[in-house]
Amino acid sequence: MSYLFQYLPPFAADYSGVASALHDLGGLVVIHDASGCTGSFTGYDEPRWFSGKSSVYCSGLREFDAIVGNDERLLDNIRNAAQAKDFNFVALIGSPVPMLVGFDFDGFARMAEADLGIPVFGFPTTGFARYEQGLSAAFFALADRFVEEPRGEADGANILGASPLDNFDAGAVASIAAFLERNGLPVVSVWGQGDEWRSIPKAAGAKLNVVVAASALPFARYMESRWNIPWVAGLPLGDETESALENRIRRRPETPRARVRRDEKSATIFLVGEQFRMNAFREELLSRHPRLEVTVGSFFAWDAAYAEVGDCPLPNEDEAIRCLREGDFDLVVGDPLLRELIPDSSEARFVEEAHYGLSARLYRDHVLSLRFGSALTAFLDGIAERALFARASRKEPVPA
Amino acid sequence: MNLESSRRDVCDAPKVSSVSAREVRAPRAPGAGAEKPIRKIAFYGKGGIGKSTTVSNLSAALAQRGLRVMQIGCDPKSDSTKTLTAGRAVPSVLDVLRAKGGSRLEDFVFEGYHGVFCVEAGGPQPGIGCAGRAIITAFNRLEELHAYEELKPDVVLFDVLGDVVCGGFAMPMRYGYADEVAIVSSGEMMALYAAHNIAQALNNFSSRGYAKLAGIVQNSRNIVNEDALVAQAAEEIKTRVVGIIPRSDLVQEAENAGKTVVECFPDSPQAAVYAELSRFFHPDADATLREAIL
Repeated sequence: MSYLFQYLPPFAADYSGVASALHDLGGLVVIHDASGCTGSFTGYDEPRWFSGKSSVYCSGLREFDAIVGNDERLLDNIRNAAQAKDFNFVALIGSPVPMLVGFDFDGFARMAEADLGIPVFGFPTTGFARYEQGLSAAFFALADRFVEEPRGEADGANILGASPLDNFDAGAVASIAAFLERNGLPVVSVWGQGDEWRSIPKAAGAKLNVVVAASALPFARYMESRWNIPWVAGLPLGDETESALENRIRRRPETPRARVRRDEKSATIFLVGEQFRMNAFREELLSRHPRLEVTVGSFFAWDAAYAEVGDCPLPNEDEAIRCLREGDFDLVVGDPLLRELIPDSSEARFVEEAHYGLSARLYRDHVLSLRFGSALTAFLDGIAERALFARASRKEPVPA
Repeated sequence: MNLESSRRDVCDAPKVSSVSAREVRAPRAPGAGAEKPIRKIAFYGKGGIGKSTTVSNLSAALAQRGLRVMQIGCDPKSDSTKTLTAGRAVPSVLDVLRAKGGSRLEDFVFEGYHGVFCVEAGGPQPGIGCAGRAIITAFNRLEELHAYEELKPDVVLFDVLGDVVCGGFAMPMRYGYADEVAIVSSGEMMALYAAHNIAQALNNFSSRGYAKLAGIVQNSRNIVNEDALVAQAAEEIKTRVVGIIPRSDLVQEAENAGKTVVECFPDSPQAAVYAELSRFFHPDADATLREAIL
């Protein structure tokens, strides 16, 4: 029963990850479904849908199409839609029904490409995987098809994994780009968002990849093996995380964090969200409040190499509830929907930090972009204050 | 002496073992063609025409030539590889997934006669579920477990149930799976009709990068003018007859003993036919050899 979710809604699925990664790249994106999945992407998962321009269509799959195939009708519809403007490519993205009837995305893409004369991708997404796997699939497909072999001396950096589904907006990307510029690394391309279609083919010319979300780690490793581009991981939000990432970029030894004895800890905090983002919060928090004890957990992309002892990958609700119960935290920071998972016996206070990949537009009025500078300081100070207050207000003493 | 013990006298029972992780990862012998592409052939044809018999004998003959052979049965009945595994049914990929959820290669890859890697995709119980979807799921699982990279076969033979009836049964001929399709047919009208349908499906899918038609393997039923009828059908679908297997009682006799003819009656003329056919499906069979066989 570990796959049964009783409290949380379905997360943004793999098809939304693919469509989101391709959103700004001038392609004709077709989700092969009966309209529910397309609706989930456009109406809920994709924060840019109501403000940006993107051509996302629904194939309008019906029962009869599932029975008899009707690939020709689908190709006709794509052909008609493709005539509307000069698209850079066509992407046909899968959903549960095509998966169940064994629709051949790769074969269809080959046929459609021969017919249309522009690159066509088929993504056999199923709706059963999470958005970060879709992001990854899109990155790999784009790289294999469009990234050119490097010419000349490598220069600049690619930003990998800046997806709006992980709350990166244009401002966040601009802040990261400014940080890289200050470190002598002009941005070559951004993977996850950005309207620089022309920059994608140049990605292999970068001398460094900067991975800002755990979902992009497999892609960074792939680029390293294929084009020998080294990578560093981290999200530069404030002084502490900027300094750490700068050390990694310049291959300088990192400054170890000051150790605090457990009996000197002032309060415990559980940060639940995208792993790199929560890691960055932890670094910034501990640099300001070193006596806090901070644990990170995530339902999404997770890499053990970037986890600390006690951190929790959360494959399901049961595991999240177990972590919350056993951790006995003073404060939990995460998407508002996670509040439901806190056991009744817990005295933990809660700070809302909405995550698009989890609750989509439900909390669109909350702060959903990343915080930098004074906004970050205020946010982290608020967290520390709430955690200390929660500890001081406990009815039950904290176990030794 | 009863019939059972008589057969045992003829054919000793071979050992069947699950493929252990250590064996799977064993390095190949030097010069054994580690970099060579795998030759992957899917066998289609009318139900009951003798595909499993033909494919299993071919697997055995190829294995006798020193090749690493993998046979994947794509039929919910899961009986494709039975004559390579001493007549014993092995757990299918779907059986394992149904029982355990997760799985490892050694749960459903079994070494049969001469080390042939035997896999049965399996499927739903009769009357429920979706057999085509079962093949897709089994293939996906093999891919997730990197079956080809781990087992490093030289030849993979897909034994597919009947005709290309839906997306699931077309899976073996899709890009990335079999590169070639061989049709097993007799001279009977319904078998040749099925051959036409299979060829038509391949033709329809030509722009999708699907497998190419390698030819027809004639599994004779001793009907009047059979060779000419099959040859004519081959011409009509723009292919060729790559081998003619005569009808032989030894086939049934070997199957009753849970074996292939190649194993049970290695010195028989029928075994020689399969050995000859295996030259065509050998990974090193270049165009000249293939033409010479025709």
